[in-house]
Amino acid sequence: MAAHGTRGGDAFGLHISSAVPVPGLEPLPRHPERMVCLRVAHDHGALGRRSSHEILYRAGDGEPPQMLIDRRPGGYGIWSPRAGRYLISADGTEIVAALPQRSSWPWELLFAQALPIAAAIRGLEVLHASAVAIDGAAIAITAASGHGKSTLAAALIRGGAEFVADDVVALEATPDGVVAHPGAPIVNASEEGLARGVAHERVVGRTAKHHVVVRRVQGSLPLRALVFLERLPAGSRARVVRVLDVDPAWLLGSTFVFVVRAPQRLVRQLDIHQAIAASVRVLHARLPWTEDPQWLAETLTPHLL
Amino acid sequence: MSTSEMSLDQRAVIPEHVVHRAFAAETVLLNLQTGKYHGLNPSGGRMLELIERHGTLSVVADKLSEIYSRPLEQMQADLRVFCGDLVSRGLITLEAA
Repeated sequence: MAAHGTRGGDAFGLHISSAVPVPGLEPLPRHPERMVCLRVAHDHGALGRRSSHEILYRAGDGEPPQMLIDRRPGGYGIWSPRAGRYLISADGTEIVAALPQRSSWPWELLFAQALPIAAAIRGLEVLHASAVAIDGAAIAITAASGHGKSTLAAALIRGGAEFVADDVVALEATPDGVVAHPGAPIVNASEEGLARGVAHERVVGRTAKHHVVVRRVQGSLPLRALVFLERLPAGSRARVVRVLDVDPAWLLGSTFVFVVRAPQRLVRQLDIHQAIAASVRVLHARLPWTEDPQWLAETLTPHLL
Repeated sequence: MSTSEMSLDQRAVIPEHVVHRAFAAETVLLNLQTGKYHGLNPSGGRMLELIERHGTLSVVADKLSEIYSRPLEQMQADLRVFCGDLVSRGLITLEAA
């Protein structure tokens, strides 16, 4: 077992202990019990060969692979020619990273894949959602990629909400209800998003997007609402309705981590989805495409209070 | 197993590798051996609940007949079809009572 580092911080309900500094990753006041040791391998060969047991393969038509996740005896491997390689131990307590050598934001896959996978292994349910906090409770917004989760969350923040997580939110069923854990305090903002005023403390990298550090909430929060965002053609009438008989397939389909299929994870996932359906306000927000995200936020906000 | 081979004296058992959770309009069954999810409508969910509670198919059919105020023969036939489907998907097993 690798020695724990003295740096690091908290994200996705995990405490990440690292020997090297990770930009933006800072401790939260409440020390979580789920410790993950992050180690950087300078020799990419130390992570072993790619396994033939591929469980996620992402590439465009006729393009070389962008990312591959495999299951191997020691855990899960992530491989990307652009963003580096990671190995997550089978018990989710250790992440070994072989960072890309030519990238202005070498930690992209740590936040985008490695930590969410470790969180799923360690007992949290990880939704493909952005989340904000209003009046001390979390609001999670889930939608298909590119349908404006982050844009809507940013607009809610400009209206006074606080940042909880961008794109991935970790949930936990507790005796007091479902809680949302803050994600990494990193937002991947487009040029347009920055121009629109994504409030950030500093830029830590730039790839196709700007990777910026933002101020986040200081601990886990009760999940008050889960919004399923659907986009309508521009000019359509906005409709936001409360869903009393939420389709479990909506919840199962909104998970961010498909690759962890251990029985205990699948049962836990079903349990937390049942808890969400029973105790969290579920909204179906059908909002038109618009150039004015602030209008979207103002349309949704009355349903969140 | 065909429905004609099924005896109402048999006991239906939900195996350990099958978990189920009730939602407002659907009961989800998860077969942990296959990783597949299966959905039951509210009537199916109620049948599964009675199977779990009472086991023996004849008792379950009696309860269904009471609950839905339908002829016992019709409930027995519906239960046979329902159980045959669940057996074929590995979601229940049938044992001698």
